[in-house]
Amino acid sequence: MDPKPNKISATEASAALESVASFQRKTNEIIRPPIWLTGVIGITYGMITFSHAMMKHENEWGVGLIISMIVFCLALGFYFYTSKLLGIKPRVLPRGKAETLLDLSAGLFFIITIFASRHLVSSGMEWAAYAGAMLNGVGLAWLLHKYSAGVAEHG
Amino acid sequence: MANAQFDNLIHGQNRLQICATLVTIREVEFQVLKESLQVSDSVLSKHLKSLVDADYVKLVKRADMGRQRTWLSLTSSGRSAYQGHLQALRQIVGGELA
Repeated sequence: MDPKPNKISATEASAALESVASFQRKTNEIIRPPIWLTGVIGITYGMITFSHAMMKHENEWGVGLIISMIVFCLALGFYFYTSKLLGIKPRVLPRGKAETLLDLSAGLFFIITIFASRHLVSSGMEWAAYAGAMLNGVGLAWLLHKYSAGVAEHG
Repeated sequence: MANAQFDNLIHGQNRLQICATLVTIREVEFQVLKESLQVSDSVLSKHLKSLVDADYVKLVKRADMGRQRTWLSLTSSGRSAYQGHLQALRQIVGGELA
């Protein structure tokens, strides 16, 4: 690290920060899964939520839950494998406060939606299974598309 | 939040972009980074050597799927230096440093 004081102007600093922002947007575009794979991951996650909400002893939604989980894991595995083939290894764990906060908030949202859907369906409100599936499926797909490279650290 | 510390080594255009890319990924291959930066092998190697010598970037060569590949990642000291540099840039833009 060079301890010499900086000699750049505010304009140059601003240009540097814009360059960083631009590169992080570009990296996000490289890292994120293709749209079709994002769709598969979102749909299967929605199906996990739906199957969990609708599952009862006398129906087959338990099987639906297992199948959805398998397909979800396969889709994620495919994403990581193809990324590695292309020369990129995405991060899994968050770094920094902003990313940790985003991941924790998202995790909490998904968990609440999964359990709230099931509770409401048990109370006779079947629409809650569809609503929960939509929220979780679309939410995860949106996060994957927008934040594959994490939360930007530029100014 | 990192302490603001302007870093002349990181500030060079390509090196700043290298750090901006590496901070978001666990590892990236040399060829992918080269295509992203749109520079030649020699230019990228030169910048990486400076960053590796400063222990900001880690360079690992290993055989993956039948061919030799060069993987790059940002070290923890590189990440701290990069975040400190960004903080210094924000302060300059904000007018706190002359």
